[in-house]
Amino acid sequence: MARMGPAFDRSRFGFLVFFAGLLLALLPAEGLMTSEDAASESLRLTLSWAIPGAIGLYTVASGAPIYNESNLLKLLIGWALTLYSLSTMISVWSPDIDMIGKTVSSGLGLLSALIIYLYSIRITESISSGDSVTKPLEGDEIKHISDILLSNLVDMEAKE
Amino acid sequence: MSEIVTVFFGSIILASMAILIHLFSAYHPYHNPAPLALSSLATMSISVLALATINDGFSYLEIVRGSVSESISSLLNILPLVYLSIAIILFNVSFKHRKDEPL
Repeated sequence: MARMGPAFDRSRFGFLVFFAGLLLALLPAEGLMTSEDAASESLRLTLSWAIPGAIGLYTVASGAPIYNESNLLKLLIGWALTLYSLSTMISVWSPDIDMIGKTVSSGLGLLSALIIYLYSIRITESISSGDSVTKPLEGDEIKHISDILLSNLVDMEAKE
Repeated sequence: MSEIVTVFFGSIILASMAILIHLFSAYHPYHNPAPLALSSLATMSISVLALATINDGFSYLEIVRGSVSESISSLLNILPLVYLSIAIILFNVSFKHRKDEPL
């Protein structure tokens, strides 16, 4: 999420977009349609268990054993939060047959859009002309690279 | 049946919007996002037109708002299953100890 944007200028947009979305979810605008109200309510209900759940699972993951050494305190706090969120989730979640059909349909819709996107990438890659042969280095570039290699070799010899 | 079709096309619109926002946010000088943005726009437009033929009497904006919010509600229903599966994996990880293997 926080890796959106150019590689040399990351972590600038991700959290801003995330917090803007969170704010809109928690403080919905006036004049929403019925389905938008339902989606907003369902998002708020989901966040009520998903936020403690995400923090809990992250804490559990960071306290899990690495080379057989685990952090017991983190595991206890993480599992307490996870169990709390699971109990909240069970009290909020009410699946039914109608919901299953719509959920499968929405999953298929997402998958279709993703497949179309991947095919578009493939087609774009196939029609784009490849890079031409790289030009040989110019005089000052050769000197710059030689200087770097030479200084590294001198450093290595000095260490030996 | 109509609701299921609405949710299907709504999810396509939602995913296309997400792709467009991603392409815009992740823009950098070494990437040409125009073909991908065009394909996502085309996918979104076809879905909106398909929904417009099913739902007569609604404006395009109403169709997009209604179908996308329906699809968000439906997608949120999958989250508990995703959460449960991650919790089960972490349960196995947090209590499993490897045997000491002498070198």
